Amino acid sequence: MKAEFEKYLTMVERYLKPLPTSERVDIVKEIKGSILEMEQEDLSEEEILQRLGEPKDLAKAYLGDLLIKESDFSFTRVLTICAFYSVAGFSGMFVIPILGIVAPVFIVTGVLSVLCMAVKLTDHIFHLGLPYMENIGVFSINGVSVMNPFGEFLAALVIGAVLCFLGQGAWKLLKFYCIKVGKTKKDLSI
Amino acid sequence: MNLDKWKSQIARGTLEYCILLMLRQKTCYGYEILQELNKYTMLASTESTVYPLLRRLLKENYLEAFWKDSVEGLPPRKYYSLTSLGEEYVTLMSEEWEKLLQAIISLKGEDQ
Repeated sequence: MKAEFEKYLTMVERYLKPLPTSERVDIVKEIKGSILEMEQEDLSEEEILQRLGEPKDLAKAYLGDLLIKESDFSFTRVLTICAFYSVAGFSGMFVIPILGIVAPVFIVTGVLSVLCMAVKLTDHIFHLGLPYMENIGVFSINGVSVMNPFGEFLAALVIGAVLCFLGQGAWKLLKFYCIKVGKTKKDLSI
Repeated sequence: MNLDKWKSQIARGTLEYCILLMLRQKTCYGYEILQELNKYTMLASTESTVYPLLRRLLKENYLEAFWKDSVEGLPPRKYYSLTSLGEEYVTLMSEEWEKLLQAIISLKGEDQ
């Protein structure tokens, strides 16, 4: 038998991991039989591999109806589940609340800082004399701005954009984290 | 029109019955079943559908299997045959199949 097929069978066997060894050996032996019969019929390597499909899909076809019955207790499975929930639970305890707060707060402050500076700039241009304007400012020493309101507005635009960008990044990271955890859980079929 | 989809649904639904019918005639090995099925375009299947199906039928005790050495140069083959439960099962399936055929005939309006 060609090395290509040996490799294929090894892959199938690897994907059949959830099954007991005896069953795995039996399945691989039967598939090997099929390959050899096809070789005898002078089918090309490509034809045989195409007919068998991807090793993963072939293994999945076997696991499909067996996994439901495979609910029996196994030590490695318990360890896997424990490991998964420890990591997911512990990391989630920090990652979800931190990112969950950071994302909206950054975006809101980003927008607010630009709005505030816009108000201050309007006040400056039209001499409206609005109260509390001295409290708004990008760079101020002892309540005195070191920049003029135009410069401050530009600086606020930049800072606002950066904050929004960071907030959006945090949001994406949070989504990515949740999807990843969900996917891992599914892959482990817990 | 998506006739292929309908055809594959029919094939999927009847494959189990077809394999049991085949095994009622005689004991077959896995690859032989595949070859036999591939004689009929509607039933043409690959390892990934038939082998897991055979496995399930074994688990459900409709079939029994044994490995047997084959001719020289070929690997041992796994032969499948019906158990008495399998016989019963396929008989009941045949009854249902007849009902379905009758229903189709009368729906066509050809049952004079």
